[in-house]
Amino acid sequence: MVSIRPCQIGDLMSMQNANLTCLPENYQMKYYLYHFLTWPQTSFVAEDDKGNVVGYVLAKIDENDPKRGHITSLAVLRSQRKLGIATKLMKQAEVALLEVFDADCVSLHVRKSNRAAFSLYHEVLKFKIDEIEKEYYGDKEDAYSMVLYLKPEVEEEKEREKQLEKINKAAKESIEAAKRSNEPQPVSNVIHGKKKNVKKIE
Amino acid sequence: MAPTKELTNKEITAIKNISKLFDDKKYSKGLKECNTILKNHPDNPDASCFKSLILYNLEQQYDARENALKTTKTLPTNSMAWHTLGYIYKLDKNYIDAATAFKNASKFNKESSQILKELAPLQLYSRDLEGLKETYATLLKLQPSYKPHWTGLVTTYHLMGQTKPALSVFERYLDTLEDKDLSGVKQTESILYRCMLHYELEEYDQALELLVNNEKKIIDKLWAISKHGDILLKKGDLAAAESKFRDLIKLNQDDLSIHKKLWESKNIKSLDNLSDEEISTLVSLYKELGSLYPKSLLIQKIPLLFLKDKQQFREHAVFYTKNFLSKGIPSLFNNLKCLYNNKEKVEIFSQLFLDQLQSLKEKQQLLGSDEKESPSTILWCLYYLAQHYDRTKDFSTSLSFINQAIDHTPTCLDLYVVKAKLYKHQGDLQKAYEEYDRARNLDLADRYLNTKCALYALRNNDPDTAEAIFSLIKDETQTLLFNIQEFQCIWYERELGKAYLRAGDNARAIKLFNLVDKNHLEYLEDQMDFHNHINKKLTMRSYIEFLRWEDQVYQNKPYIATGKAHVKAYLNHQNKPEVMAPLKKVPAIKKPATKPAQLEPKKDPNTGLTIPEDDDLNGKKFLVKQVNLMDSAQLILDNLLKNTNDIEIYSLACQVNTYQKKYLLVLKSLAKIKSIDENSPCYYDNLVNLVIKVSEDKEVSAIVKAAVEKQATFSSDVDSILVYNQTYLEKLGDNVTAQHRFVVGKIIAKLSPSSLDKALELILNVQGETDWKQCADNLQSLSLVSSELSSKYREKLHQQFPIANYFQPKVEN
Amino acid sequence: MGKNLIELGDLTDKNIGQLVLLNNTTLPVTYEEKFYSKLLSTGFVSKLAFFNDIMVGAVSCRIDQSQVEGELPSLYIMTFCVLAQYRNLGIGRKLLEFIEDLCKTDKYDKISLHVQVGSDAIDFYKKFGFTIESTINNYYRNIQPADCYVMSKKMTSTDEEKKEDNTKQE
Repeated sequence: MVSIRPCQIGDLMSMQNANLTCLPENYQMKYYLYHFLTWPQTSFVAEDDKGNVVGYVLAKIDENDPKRGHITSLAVLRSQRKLGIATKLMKQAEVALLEVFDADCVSLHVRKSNRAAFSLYHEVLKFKIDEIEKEYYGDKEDAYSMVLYLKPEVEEEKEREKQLEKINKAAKESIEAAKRSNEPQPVSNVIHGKKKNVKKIE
Repeated sequence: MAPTKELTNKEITAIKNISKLFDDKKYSKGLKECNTILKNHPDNPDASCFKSLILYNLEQQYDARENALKTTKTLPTNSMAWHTLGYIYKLDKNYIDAATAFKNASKFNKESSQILKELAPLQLYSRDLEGLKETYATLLKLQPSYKPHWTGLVTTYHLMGQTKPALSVFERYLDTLEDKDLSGVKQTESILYRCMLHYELEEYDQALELLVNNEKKIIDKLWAISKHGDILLKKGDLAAAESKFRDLIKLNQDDLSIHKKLWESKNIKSLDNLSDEEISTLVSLYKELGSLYPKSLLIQKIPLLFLKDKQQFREHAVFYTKNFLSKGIPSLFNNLKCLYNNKEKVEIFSQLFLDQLQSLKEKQQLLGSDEKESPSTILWCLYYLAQHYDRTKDFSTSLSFINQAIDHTPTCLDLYVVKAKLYKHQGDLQKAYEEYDRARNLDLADRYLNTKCALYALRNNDPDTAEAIFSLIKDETQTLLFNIQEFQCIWYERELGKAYLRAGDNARAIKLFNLVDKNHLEYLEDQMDFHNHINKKLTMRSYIEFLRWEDQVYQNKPYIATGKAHVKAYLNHQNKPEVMAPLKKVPAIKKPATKPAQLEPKKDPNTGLTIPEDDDLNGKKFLVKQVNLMDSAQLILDNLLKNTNDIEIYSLACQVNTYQKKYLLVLKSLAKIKSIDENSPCYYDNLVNLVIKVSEDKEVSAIVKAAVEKQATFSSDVDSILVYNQTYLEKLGDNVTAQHRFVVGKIIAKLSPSSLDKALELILNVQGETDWKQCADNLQSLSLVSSELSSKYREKLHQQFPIANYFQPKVEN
Repeated sequence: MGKNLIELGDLTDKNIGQLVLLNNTTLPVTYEEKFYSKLLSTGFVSKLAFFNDIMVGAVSCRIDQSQVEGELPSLYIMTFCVLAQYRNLGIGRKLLEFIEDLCKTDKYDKISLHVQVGSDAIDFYKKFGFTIESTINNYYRNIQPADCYVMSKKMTSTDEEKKEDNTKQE
């Protein structure tokens, strides 16, 4: 049977092995240690009866944005599929990122061609596509950058910001176009939104 | 001592200039200036030290080191000279000598906190914890309000096992220096670390107090609640402990370790030998948990672990396995494997799955269900049965089931994977590889299949094919060896090494096993990178666990598996047995025709210096450099022997120590084997080997000889050995196995060449032998005694294991 | 992960091995490697069918340009099969529906195929509105019966063709 539990130091070698077996993006042990020693609560493993790691999620907080969680790597051995292990691992990581680090959201990258992974993130875990990052992967494949908001109020605010940005952009473009065609300029309809409360980053 | 000339103003300026040139990386110019100064002032410390550093950066590491060493000899009390030497050793990753150099540097400049700060991580690396304690004590005198010195001292005490001082220093640090309005994860860490220390000191009340008083502030709930439960268990407050573990189960139903603690809170320490009362407690517990959390597979599974009543067990098994079969979850067998040590349960599974098969064939329904199943359900039932009979060692039945499954749904990949395993277990590694490759070809995008197929190719002694398969998913701009080493791909290094080992190419095998050692050294060196990082993040609990893990970095399964093969490689090089399995002459898959583009010289990411090309691709140069093969093997054994109950490791130690004539050490290992399994044929084999060697060794002391004979209970002359050998099997009675007979026969063949018939009779009696791998090892060891016997043994093994590759009759070319 | 889930998927150079295996075990005729290497290039359309994540059926078609200028191209079904144990589950239907939808979106005039005389497949195609156009004797070399039917289904109606002409004239 498969047991899902927080990652411990003794798991890292096994995680590294699972990663080498399942994924093309590989890391040296140092990187695993970096995660374990900085954000020990956010990574989880799935282990079988013999104590072999058959799945793991390696998560962290974005170094440039302390409110943004990030999934560095997620893998489940092919032989253990269809048990919902990936979903369980992700949910544990999401809870940890929210409760321990007060993250507003968690992001990740997925290969455009990886339909199975995409449907896990999109349909099951409710991540949304944030943007496309061209040639993100070592072999030049594009990635979807996806994000899940852990706090509904933050998500609402982000949505509002996005809308404002869109409207401002459109207004700017119409002004530019008007300038170019020498038509009388419309009254500025750029909407000024509320100023963000910029929290100090510790 | 020659009078030291004064530096001219010009020269003083020149020295300042050298410093600037160094910073600007103008090394050649800087070197010139240094040499100019040194011509007139050969002992000038600044010029000399800069010269060392510049030489190192000009990739003349040897000269740099020599110069730095020389400087410390001519200026033995100059702190800067020692500092420079230490720095160069550090760049070489020679942390132990670096620590000594920095210590000397500090001796001659006691006020420098900079030197001590650089010394601390080096002392930690070399586990000079007493020295480290002193270093921090001094640093605290020099800079009493610098936080990392405090936490460094705490870590040192904790690592030394001096938990009480660790705790008191930590508390003093928190009282005096830490922000009073600490919040969030940092505050939690300081609370929980103290809790950890109290717990290790068995001060459970204090630990509990911390958790209870700070409950609102603690945000790492999983750890806190778990610890809370552990403390309550220790204090014997079982009801409260149970409540805590139930809280944890609410957060995560699938963590087996929490369930185990829950059982403990019901006073059930293990699932072995449960009383009826305990079983009924567990039955009602899991009924309750099952209704609270109906989706948890683990909760559904656990009753199978403790139910004893056959009827109840079967009913629950029907319930549990239903979903797996209907939905086609391939890992069902893997899931239930842990129960297969129990003969009764195995019987029940047999009957259950055969009944399910019958029910599906007749009615397309599973037992106890009215639903019509889809066609794939019967597929997964056949799939399970194939694995079941493989486990019960009924090869023909398992093969029949998997072939039925393949006829049913030939496009299902998993079937070929199981078929490959079936052949693997029977020793037909060729067919095993072929079946796995069949699976791989059905989904070329799947990296797991690619990796495992490469593994099967290596086990089939076909490294070229393995490389061809593996290179489909690896970076083509570097060689395979570089890739697997850079990403610390230990399994590939080990399996490739083992393939060479089986083929008798010990040099290459050792080279690859050395790569595994190197990877572990890298793990150790990683400590150096986190020293400053921890000072900022202060994740104390993880850091201590990390350092403790580093102390045992060689005691993990992959290293041990590699280490054993590594020692065998040295032994094989010493005694040269017959080759077990040659490499495939014609690989199954040819390497891609295109050569990788001119490979760029690789740079070390830390120093920016070029990593030299590998000039020893076949490992021969390294092997030739080994002064004593057995001493090299001993270094590996030293790591393997820590904390182990593995008879094979002790057996290897016996063999190595016997070669080294360290007979008393052999006795020690023998005693260990005997304590683990007194009837071990391995014990007897090594014992007799020792006695024979002692009898042949003219230089052995009388005391040692007597000790050996005492352990053996027979004298070390040939006749006595043979007499004892004759009675050995009788003494074992019902415990005699084919392996015992083999060992006894081998001894006769060794010592009494005129009694080969007798030896042969014993050796060829392989009745009851099911372990073809053990027999392959036997074949090798027998080849060292008599090639005639070993070829007859091979024929017999071929009959016993008809499809095992190693025992196929050799094709004469 | 629902039970009895039928999904369609694309043919790629990575999973083409499954198609080869499916065809070899299900069809009476074996195709050479050349046949499969062409499938991934333009001028061919293929679709795989998965039942609970196992590939159990597939269709592969060739796009035939019309001999007559101005006329729409057609699809010719080269292979179409479902594993024996997975028939009558709606898999064949789903594959054929995919082909028919493709005809509508990509504008193919008709779908045609060869089917061995006496095959179960004939009724299947008839249910979908295919008709027998003609019979060819001794079409197959190595199997009996050696005769086959040419079956086809027109996907564009004559009205639609008239519309095409009308819009062109405008």
